[in-house]
Amino acid sequence: MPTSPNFKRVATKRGRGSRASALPNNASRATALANHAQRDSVLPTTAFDASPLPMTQALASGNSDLASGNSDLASSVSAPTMSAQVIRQDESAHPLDGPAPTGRRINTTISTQSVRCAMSVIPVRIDQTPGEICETPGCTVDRVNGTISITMQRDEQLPTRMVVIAANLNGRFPTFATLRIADQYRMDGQLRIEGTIVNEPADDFLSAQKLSPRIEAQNFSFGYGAPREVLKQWESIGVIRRYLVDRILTCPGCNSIPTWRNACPGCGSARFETRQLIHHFACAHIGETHSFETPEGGLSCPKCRAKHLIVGADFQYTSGPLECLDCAESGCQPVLGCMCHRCMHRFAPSEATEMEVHGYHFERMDLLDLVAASQ
Amino acid sequence: MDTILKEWTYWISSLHLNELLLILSPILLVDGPRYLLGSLLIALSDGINQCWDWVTRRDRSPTFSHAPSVCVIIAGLNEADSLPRTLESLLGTYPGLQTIVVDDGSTDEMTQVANDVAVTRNDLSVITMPTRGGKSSALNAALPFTSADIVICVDSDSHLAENAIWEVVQPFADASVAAVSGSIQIRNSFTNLVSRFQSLEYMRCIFIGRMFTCRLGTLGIASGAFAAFRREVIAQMGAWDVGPGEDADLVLRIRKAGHNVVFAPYAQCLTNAVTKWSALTRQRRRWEWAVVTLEMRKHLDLANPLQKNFRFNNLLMLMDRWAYSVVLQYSFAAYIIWVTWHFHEHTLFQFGLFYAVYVCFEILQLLVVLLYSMDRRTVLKLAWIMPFMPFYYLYLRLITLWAVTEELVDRPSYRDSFVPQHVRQVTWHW
Repeated sequence: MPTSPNFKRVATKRGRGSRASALPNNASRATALANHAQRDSVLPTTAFDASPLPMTQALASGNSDLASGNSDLASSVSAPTMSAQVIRQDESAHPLDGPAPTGRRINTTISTQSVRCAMSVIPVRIDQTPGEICETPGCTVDRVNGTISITMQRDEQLPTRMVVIAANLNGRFPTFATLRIADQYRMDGQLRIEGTIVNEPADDFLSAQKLSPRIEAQNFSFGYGAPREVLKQWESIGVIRRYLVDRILTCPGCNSIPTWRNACPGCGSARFETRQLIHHFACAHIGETHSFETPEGGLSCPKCRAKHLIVGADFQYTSGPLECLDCAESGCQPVLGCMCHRCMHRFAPSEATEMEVHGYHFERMDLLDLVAASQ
Repeated sequence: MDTILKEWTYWISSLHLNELLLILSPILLVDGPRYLLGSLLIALSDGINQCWDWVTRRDRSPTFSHAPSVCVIIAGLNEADSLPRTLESLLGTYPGLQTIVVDDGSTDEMTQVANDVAVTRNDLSVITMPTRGGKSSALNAALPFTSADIVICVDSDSHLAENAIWEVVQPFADASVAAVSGSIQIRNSFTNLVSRFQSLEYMRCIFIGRMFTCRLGTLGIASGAFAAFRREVIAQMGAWDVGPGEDADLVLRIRKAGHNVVFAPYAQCLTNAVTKWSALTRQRRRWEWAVVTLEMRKHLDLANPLQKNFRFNNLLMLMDRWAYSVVLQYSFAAYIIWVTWHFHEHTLFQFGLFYAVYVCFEILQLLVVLLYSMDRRTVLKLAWIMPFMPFYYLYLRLITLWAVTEELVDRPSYRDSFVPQHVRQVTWHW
C-alpha cells in the first residue's frame, strides 16, 4: 500500500465520505458531495494528475477484474498516485433487483472507486425504445469529474449515445439513471463505456417532464414527452412504473377532454342568453326588465303601476331563465353540459366516459448513490 | 260532583222546550248551521247520491282523465332538513312533472341539498334568491321558469300523499276553474295535545269545512301548503302579493277576476303542525290578521254589486268571513260578558249545557269525518280528546278576537317578521 501523504489525505476524506453516506437524506448527502468536490478542487496536483490513466491499460485491468471477479485491480493500475480497489464479486447478484452488494472493499482509490453491484445497461435507441439489456457486475466511478465507466461482455459497440443504467444499490429496489456515453472501447470481447449521468431535464430521457402527463392542446388529451408505446416498453422491462394521476371525464366519442360550461338543457349549446329579472319588493312581482321599462326611460312596475323605482330600495335584479339561440328553448335554467371541440359533440356529464390518466415514475440514481455504494 | 251533576240534569229536565231552545239559541242559530248543519247536509246529500248510484248501477269511481302539464314550486327558507322528504314524495309521481325549488335566501344548506338531488334529475331546477324577499316573491320567482299549464305550490316542510297531484289537477278539466285547494292534514298528529287538537280541527275545518264551502261556491282560500293554480291566470294578475295571507289573497283575486275556486278533498298534503301553544297563537293571529287585511280592506270591492265582476257567492263568502271572524266573535264576547254580568244560580248550569251541546256537535262532526276520511284509524285514535275540543275552540275564538281587534286598531300584520323588513317598509299597508 502506498504511504504517501496523498494517500493519507485521501484516507481522511474517505472517512468523512463514509460518514456522509450514512446521512439520512439526499440533501445531507448532496452537501457531503459538495464538500468532497470543494476539498478535491483545492487539492494539489498529484491526485488529479493520476486520473488520465492510459485508457486501454485501465480498461484491460478493469475488464480482467470484472471478468475474473476477484482479481486485484490495484495491481493492474500502475499510476503512482492512484490505487485501485479489490472487490469480491457476489455471484448471486441480480441485474435489477437482487440483494445488496456483498462485495467487500479491500482497497480504495484516490478519485476513482469501483461499485461492486450487479448492474444492467439498457441502451436507449434513437427512437427512445429500450435496446438489448446488458448485464455487468459493477462500474467504476470517478467522483472528481463525475464519469462512470462500465465494462460489459459485448463484442460490438452500443449503437447509441445514451443508456439507462439500473442497479439495486440500496438492497431494496432498483434505481435508474440515464448515462450519456462519452467514449466506448472494445477489447477482447468486452466493451467499456464511459459517460456521465444526465441531470438536465431537457436531455434526460427519464426526466419528470417526459414521464408526467400534460395536456396537449392540439388534440384535447393528455400526452407525455415520449410516445406512449415507448413508455410502455420501458414500463414492461421495469424501468418506469405507472401510477394513477387522475380520473377524468372525456368525450364518449373520441375520448378527448371536453369543455365544461353552462348549457341549454334542450340542446346543450352554450349560445344562450340569460334574461334579467326585476323583483319589485312592494308587490312581490318578478318580471323581465323590459316589462318594467317606460318610454320615458324610467322603471315602472307592470303589476302595481308603481313608478320611479330605485334599485336597492324598491327592487333588485335577479337572474331569470335562459333563451337558447340555437334551439329557441326558454324558460329553463342552464345546466352543466360538455362540449368536445375535437369531434364537436355536445353531451351531458352523465354520458361522459371516465378515463384514467397515468403518470410514470422511477427511482432515480445519482452519482452520490454510486459513490456511497462504493464505500 | 254527583250532586252537581244531578242538579244540572234536574235543571235541564225542568226546562220547557221553549226555554231550552231560547237558552241554546246562540248555538243553534249560529254555530249549528255554520259548522254542523253544513257537514250533515253534505253527508246526507252524498249518502242519497250513493244510494241512487247503487240503484241505477252507475259507476262514479274517480278516474284521472285530465293530465295537464304541471310544475310544482317549493319555496322555502332554511328547510334543508325537511326538503328531501318533500321532494321524495312528489318527484316522479306525475308524468312530465317539473319541480322548481326556490331558496328564499336561506342561511342553511337548502340550496346544496336541492342541488344534490337536481344533479341526478333533469326535472328539478333550483333557484336561489339573492336575498330573502318573502314567500310571495319566492313563489313568483319560479313562474318565469315554467311554461306548464298548472302551477302547484307545496310547502317545503310538507309531503304529498299518494296521487295528490293527480287529484288536484282533475278539477282543471273545467275551464272556469283557476285554483284548486288541496286538503291539508297533520303529519305529526300524535306529538302532543296541541298537535292532536289541530289534527282534529284540520279534519273538521279543512277536510269537511271546505267540502261544504266548495259546494256552496264560497271557498275563499287555498292553503299555501298545497294549492294548484292555472298558470296563465295567475301570471296575468301578477301572481302572489306580499303576505302574510298571500294564499288567500291570490284566491280572492282569482275570484274577483271571475274564475272559480274548488276544493279537492282527496288531494292530501301532510304538514307539520306547530307543537307549542305560543307558536299556535302566533300562527292563528297571523291568519286572522289576514282576514281583516284582505276581506275587510283590500278586497272589500268583492261585495260591491256595482263592480264589473260582482258575483253573489263572492258577497256570500265575504259575509261569511265578516260574520264568523269578526261580528260573531264580538257578539260572543258580549254575550259572555252579559251572562257573567247577570250571573245567577243557573248560569253555570247554562254553561254546562252549552258544553254538552258542543260535545254533541263534535261527535256528530266526527261521524261525518269518519264517513269521508281515508285514514279512519287516526281519527278514532284522536277521538278521546273530543270532550276537550270545545275548550280548544274557545281558545281559538279568544285568539281570533284578540287578533282581529289588534289588526283593526294597530295593523300589526305589517310589522310581522313573516315578511322581511325591506319589503314591509315599501309594501302597501291596507
